[in-house]
Amino acid sequence: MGGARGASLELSASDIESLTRQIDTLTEIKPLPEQEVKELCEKCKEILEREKNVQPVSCPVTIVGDVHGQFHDLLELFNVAGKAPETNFLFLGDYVDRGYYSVETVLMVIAMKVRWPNRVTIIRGNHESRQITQVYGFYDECLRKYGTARVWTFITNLFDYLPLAACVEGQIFTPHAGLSPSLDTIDHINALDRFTEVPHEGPICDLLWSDPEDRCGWGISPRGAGYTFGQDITEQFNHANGLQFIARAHQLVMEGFNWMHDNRVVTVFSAPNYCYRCGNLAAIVEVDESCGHAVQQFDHAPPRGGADAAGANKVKRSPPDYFV
Amino acid sequence: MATPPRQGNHDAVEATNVDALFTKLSACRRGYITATMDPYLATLADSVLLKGGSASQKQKHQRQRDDFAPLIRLGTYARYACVRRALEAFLATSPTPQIISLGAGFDTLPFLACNANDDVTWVNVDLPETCLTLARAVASTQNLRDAVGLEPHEVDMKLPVPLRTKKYAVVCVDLAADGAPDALVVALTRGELPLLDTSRPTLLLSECCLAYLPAEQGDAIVSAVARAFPTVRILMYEMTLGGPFGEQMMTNLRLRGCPPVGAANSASALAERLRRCVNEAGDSSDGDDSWPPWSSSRSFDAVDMASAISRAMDAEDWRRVRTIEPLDEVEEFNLLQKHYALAWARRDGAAVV
Repeated sequence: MGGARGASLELSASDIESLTRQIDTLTEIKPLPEQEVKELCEKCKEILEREKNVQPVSCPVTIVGDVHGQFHDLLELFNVAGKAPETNFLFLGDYVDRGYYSVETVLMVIAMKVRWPNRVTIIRGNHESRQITQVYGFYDECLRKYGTARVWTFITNLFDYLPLAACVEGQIFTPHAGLSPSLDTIDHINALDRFTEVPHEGPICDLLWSDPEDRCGWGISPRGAGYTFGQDITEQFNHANGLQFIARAHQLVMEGFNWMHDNRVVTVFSAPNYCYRCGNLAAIVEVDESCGHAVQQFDHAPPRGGADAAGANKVKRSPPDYFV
Repeated sequence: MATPPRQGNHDAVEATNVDALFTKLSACRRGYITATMDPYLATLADSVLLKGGSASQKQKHQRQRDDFAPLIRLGTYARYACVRRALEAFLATSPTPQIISLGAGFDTLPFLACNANDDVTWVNVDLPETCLTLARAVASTQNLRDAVGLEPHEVDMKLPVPLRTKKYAVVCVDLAADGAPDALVVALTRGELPLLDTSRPTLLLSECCLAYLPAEQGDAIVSAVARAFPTVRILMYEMTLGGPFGEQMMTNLRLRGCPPVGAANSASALAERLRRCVNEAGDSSDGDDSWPPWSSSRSFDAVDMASAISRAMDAEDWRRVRTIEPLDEVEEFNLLQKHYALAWARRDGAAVV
């Protein structure tokens, strides 16, 4: 797709000014007005609809796993990784649900994408879906913060345009979750029609739901969607597509990252102390100019549990549930 | 009347009873626990919420929506199913079974057990507000009254025993107080009308109760019961707080005012504590025993709840509940289950006088 950008995608000086202001507003953990969300989503759609299902990405780039509305921790991540445009980002989905700041988090990655489309890549996670966001919090948060579901509608409509995966320099394949028994090659994935709600089954669902497993072959997923896949499946896919390894997110791992399948798959999870309950570290993968990679771990942003650092938002935090 | 626990506070600990009831109710509404399985859950919940005191009123407002995550319903069901299975196996093997249930709050198992068994004696031990709320709820609800055989004249709403029938009693003992281990045994066995007979086979049931007490206090309570009841089975469902997940759990529960200060670090540590408590009381048996139904031949053991699901639950029933809702929180669910344990012990010895 490269340099052939339509004139409509050029940012005017006033576009740049308003995007800069929006990113600043979000950084202060304030949501954007409804009309601005609508316009931002429209601009982002125009960019995303020209991207491939497996969007090519150049190095250097920093790969980010699930963030799940933990906005303070996303700011902490920028402290560790640097900010755009100095740092290029590849976000692997699951921006929303579970945390208290899904609106701010997803708007931040959307605004970054619109501001620096060639330096920021965003793909779809299994939570970027109308159905899942109604169960796990994003829908309720939109209602709470805007009083109507219109913002949820704008944003979930945009989700249908997100690429299904990315590939760094043709060497690191990065879906949100995993592989699919009906997809042998990246060309197969690029041939899919992705502009739809995440289906309950089939190749698109698998890319967004599957997990690597110690057991060989394909297995039934405990999540009720997608599959589990063994080292043999990973080796076959990597070989057929000339890949170094697969970097994916989707699963909570206590150290923030976890290598499997003889270092052919790495899980990267970027929501520290997930759900304010799990006590886990987070991580990102930094891919340098020569396509070498390094993992960086980071801990949750202070302060914990108590009042928010930014007094501007009035999110009521209740401690997570346990069996008591 | 109650001596405050050394850490945390009574209200917050007592409020966990209402919280546990709400999670069970949520599991009931979604079909995990069906009305056929447990006809008492909905009526007890209704009654407690209508007639509850201040702590439950507060919770009621917080929980008007059914806002628990699917993993909480699934885990609540796993706990319910495992404990119920152990209880039913105990009832089946003992002709005149007695149950002491510590901090049981608004558990419906006593109603199921009393309804199904004419020769059972069940004693709930709890804090004053819970005892009174429970007694009022039972007295005012037809199917609960019928289950425990309550006649109107048997309700006097006076502490420490606000409600007592031939099968069932609610007794108030502050387990956090100094001298609670002895006071508990006295209340159970030596009142004017002793609630329990020490020569009968007895099950001590404790779910998320002793962990809120300092470990020495919890252990002293278990020892005292084991000493007093020579033929005793013990079943505990408790949090175990090892590792970073456990540390975060302690932090979060401390914020709620109910830090589980006496929680063991792991399932095996909890089993070891139980072993010491029972051995201190006298002989324990290592012989074959069919209780609990998933037991090894050891007279004490514990498994974390992640293993208990495959070991102690009916596989088909697990498949049924596992498909009620999609569960995206698989890793989190497993982590949470690994930080709870089911522990059991038994003693078949002569009374130590």
